[in-house]
Amino acid sequence: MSEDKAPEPMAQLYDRFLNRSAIGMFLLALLFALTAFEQSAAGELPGALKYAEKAIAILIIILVGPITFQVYRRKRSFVSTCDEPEGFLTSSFQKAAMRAFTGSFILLIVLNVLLEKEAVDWPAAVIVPALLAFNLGVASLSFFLDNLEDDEDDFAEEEDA
Amino acid sequence: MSKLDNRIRVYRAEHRMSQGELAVAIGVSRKTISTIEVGKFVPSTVIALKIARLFEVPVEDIFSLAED
Repeated sequence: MSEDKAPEPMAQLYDRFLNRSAIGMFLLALLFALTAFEQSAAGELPGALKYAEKAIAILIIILVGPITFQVYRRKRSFVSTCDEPEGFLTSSFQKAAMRAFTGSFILLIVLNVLLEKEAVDWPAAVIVPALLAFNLGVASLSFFLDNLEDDEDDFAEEEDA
Repeated sequence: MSKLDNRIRVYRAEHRMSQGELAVAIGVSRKTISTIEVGKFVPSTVIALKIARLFEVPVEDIFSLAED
């Protein structure tokens, strides 16, 4: 008879979900940056960029899709062992979202002033994806910087030794 | 802002518990425990009380405000 493997604790699964989401957000920022750049690119470059965008989109789905489904399924099954919705990574994610919102808001104000003074004449097809790229880029990079330190589980190592 | 000291590592050692085991016992992730221990993350009252209840001590035995 095979032993049943204990399911991954919900809190641990949720942390993995947040990490993957941040990676997904970074890739999405890259995708929007390429979309903005594509507007000013000439020659065969826009065609090549389209392929790159499709590849990034597929990568995002592969990275984030399965774990999102896992989290959704676990929440639906009511066997969650995660009583606390909060944790370090949840708090880190919220801080990252707040920084991204603040940064984007300031950028929007600056852009608004520049557009009013006709200092720039970028079309909406460039401004919108560029802003989205900035917002998602700031959020994901802020999250990664908050979680740079990788620590080990001390006593678990001693017990294994 | 006042710094929050904690003795989680001491209590874990007494109970021979890893960060992962403590995390599972109170329903949070291991990263949350490790960041609380090093003072990077200030836990909610609920998490603090759960840790205290697990080690069967008053919450003030585990968490205290650092002296200035």
